[in-house]
Amino acid sequence: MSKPSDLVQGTLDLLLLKILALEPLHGWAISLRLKQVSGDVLQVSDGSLYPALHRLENQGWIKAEWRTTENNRRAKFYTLTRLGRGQLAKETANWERLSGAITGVVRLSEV
Amino acid sequence: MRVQQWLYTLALRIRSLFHRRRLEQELDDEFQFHLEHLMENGMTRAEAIKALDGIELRKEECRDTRGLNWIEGLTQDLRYAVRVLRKSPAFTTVAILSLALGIGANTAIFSVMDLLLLRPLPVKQPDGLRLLRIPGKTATRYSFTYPMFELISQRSPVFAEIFAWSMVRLQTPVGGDMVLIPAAYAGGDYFKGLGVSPKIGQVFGREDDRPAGGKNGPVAVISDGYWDRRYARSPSVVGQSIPLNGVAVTIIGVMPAGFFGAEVGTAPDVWVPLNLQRQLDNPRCISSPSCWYLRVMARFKPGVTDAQGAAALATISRGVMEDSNPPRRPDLRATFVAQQLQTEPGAAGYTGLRGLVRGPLQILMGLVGLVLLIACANMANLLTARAAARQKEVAVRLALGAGRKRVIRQFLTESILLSVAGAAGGFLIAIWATRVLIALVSNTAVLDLQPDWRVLTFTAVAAVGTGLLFGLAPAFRATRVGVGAALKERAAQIQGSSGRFGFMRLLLGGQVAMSVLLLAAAGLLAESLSRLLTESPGFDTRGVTVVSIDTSKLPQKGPALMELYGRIVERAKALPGAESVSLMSTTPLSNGGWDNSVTVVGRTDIPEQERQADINAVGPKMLETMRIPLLAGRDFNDRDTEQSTKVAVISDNAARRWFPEGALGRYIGMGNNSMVRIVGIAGNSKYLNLREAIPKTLFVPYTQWNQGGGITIRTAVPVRETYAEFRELLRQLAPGAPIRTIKTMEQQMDESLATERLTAYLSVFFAVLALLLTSVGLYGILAYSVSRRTSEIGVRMALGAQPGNVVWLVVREAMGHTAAGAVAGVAAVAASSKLIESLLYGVRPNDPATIVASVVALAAVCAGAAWLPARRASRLDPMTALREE
Repeated sequence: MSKPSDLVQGTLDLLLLKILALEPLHGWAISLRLKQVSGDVLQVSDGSLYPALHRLENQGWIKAEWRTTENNRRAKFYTLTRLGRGQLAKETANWERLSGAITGVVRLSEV
Repeated sequence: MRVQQWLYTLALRIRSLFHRRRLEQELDDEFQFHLEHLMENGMTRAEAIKALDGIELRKEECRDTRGLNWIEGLTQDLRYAVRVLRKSPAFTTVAILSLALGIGANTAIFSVMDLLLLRPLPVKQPDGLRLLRIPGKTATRYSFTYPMFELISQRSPVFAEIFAWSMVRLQTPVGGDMVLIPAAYAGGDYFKGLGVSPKIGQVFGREDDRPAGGKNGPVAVISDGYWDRRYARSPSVVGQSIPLNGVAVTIIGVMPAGFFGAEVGTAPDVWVPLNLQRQLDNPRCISSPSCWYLRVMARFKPGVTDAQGAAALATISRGVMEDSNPPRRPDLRATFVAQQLQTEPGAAGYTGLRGLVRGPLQILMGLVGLVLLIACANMANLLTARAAARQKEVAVRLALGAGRKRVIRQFLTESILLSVAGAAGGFLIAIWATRVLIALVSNTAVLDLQPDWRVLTFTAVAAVGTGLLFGLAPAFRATRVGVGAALKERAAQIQGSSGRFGFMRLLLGGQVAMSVLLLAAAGLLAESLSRLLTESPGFDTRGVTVVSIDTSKLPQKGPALMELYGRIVERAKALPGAESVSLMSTTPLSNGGWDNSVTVVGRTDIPEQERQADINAVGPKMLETMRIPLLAGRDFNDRDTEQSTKVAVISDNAARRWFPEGALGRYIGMGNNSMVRIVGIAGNSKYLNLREAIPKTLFVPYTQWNQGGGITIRTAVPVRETYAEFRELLRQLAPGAPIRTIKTMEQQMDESLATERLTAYLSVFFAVLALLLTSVGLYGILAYSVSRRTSEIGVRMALGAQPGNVVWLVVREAMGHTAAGAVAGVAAVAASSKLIESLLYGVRPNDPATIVASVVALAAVCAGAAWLPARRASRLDPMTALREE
């Protein structure tokens, strides 16, 4: 189901899982948090956020529930599941392995 | 973890199916929530929507992640397809009807194949069964003598179980009358080998298969059907005694419903051990090395492969043959002992019908497959023409953002919906048609006609397969259209049409070619049947009835029995309406009989194959009764007895070949040093069947050869009216001799032509179907072409073309479409008609008259199909036509 080799998609999944690992958030808040943590480096459009969230939900890695926000509005909050925690660990390890390898290659070419 | 995740997501997906509306609402709310926040942060609504890159598209992506979205898509497609098809009822009706006929005909032929050739026996592990056979130069033999069966059982180490059986009819008293019930002699490991347990009681095995029976004496097992009919399902039937051929036999078990043994098409009521035959009927047959009447099946020991089994049989073959009473003549002996024992897969059991119908069925399956292809081509054409009318719809859908794949899927859904509806209709047609076909093949076969999973699978595959076959190309072509161009209608018509038209022409050409092929096949097979029907068998079948009686339990044997036959014949002459009565040991055209190679006394120069004679032991006046002319000499009479000189009447062709200088008074040797004197010469007549070349025939008096036979009665009134009187006569003269069969010679002839009739009728039916479908196809393409050329025709008429010219224009086009196909068809006939050569009689496979007739028939039907569109074109009002520009 997951495609670790797909860098872009895998990265977005990893980011989303990581953000949700800290606290349950709704889509709008996730989009704010993404911009906040990555600055302008990672351009994730608001539109592509939702299909990604729904995909993660259908994989069973996050789950959604409707809650009231502090402004008293109903919003769909996403929470990391136990399965998702495992997936996060796996993808983090993947990412570290991959980025480590790439960093190694990049350094090598500089010498 | 994996399983858990899988279950979890499955639950999610199933939920998404059922809570579709709520999920939609939530999706809406979620995007709305985001939108509002964007707008609160200073965006206009348009900017906000742009930031989300178009909400609907993203929503669709979200829906896709649910995984089961395609089911929703499918329901949507189906609903739309139903709506579209409902809107054009004429098209839908024609489509479903032609597919139902095409698929139904295929399913029916397949069902017959399934019933006779494929369906496994309802026994334990039918795949392990092997049927024993002896391949020969001309035919494969599936019959064995009892001594041979014993030898194979003893000498072959590879069989775990081996058993033999023979179908028979046994007498049992019901009320005051003797009736014959279908039965089977079952020897060796019959029940153990088939592995079927009785419903109640037990079965018999080797220990009971002894001349005097086992420890329980003579025993029998009865069928579920007989238990029901005769014993009203009483459980106390086990232990009861039933008289079979006058012997009290103890019933020890009842077989489960559906069990019929290993011979497909039979339904024995009773099974008795094979060795009981010594008591029940002809004791000579079971010990005779020349009574070939058993079928043999076996199972290999565990671990024995087919190759090992074949090798083991090969090593014992010669010994078995040598010990099976080979013929004494050296050349015949050499052929005999060289025969090989072999096995073939026996899962589908044995049936005598198989050899009869295998060839014709394969041909019919091929022909009916062509019919389905024609139906497919037809559908593809109709759909292509329809696609032209739907170009705008497609363009709009593509413009609104539907992917091409999505639109193709929609089109395919429609075609598969059509083919599935057609298949459903076809399945019903097939259930009915299978009954008719089986009845045509044999009027005695008992078969379970319920379609099994093979037939269902066949229909299902045919349904989806045809749907894809005829739907795919039109769907691809329909969606291969520039959006802008299609929306500008005129441009689209000019642009898209030439390619599409070429495609339609190609399909039509194929249809025409296949139709020619079918017509030619039908023509050849029908011509063969009609030649067979008009072929004179050498005797007059009308008004002749043959009654065969079972004399095995009469006290009279030998000459006394012959004398009894004489008395029955004599008394039958007094039956009302009886014109002439005699007796024949072999009923002609029954595919069986007595043949022998004779010696022509005084001549040594006649080769063996010209000395083969078909022999029939007959009574006096047989020639008169059968209306075979007596050309010279005399008929038999009462003075030809056992003691008098042995005599014979030979057929004209035999007399001319053997004794050109005159046959009367000459002698023929019939083996065992018995000479017969020729006293008469009769007209030629057929013996085994109508198909064979006229054989040399030898008639001998039944009294001199101790051979009884069928009472042959020529009556002026239908024989049914004399039946009761004949029965009464029999009751007086020979109580205890039940009537075995009562058959008119015309019935006999019909039966002997059963497969010919089947193939001829069906191929003609298929050809008519093909013509019908092709004419619909041609009509469709012409109607389409005329509508496309409306303005052109308008211009022509405005410039002075007469209606006749316009008709010619369209007809010429029709001829153009069909001519190439017809040429291809004739080529196909030339290339393939050899395939049906073995089914033909009196006509060559490339018979020019048949091929010409096929093309002419096709041309006539095509002209008919062209007439309507041509007339419509000729009645166009030029002004209206031109205004359509």
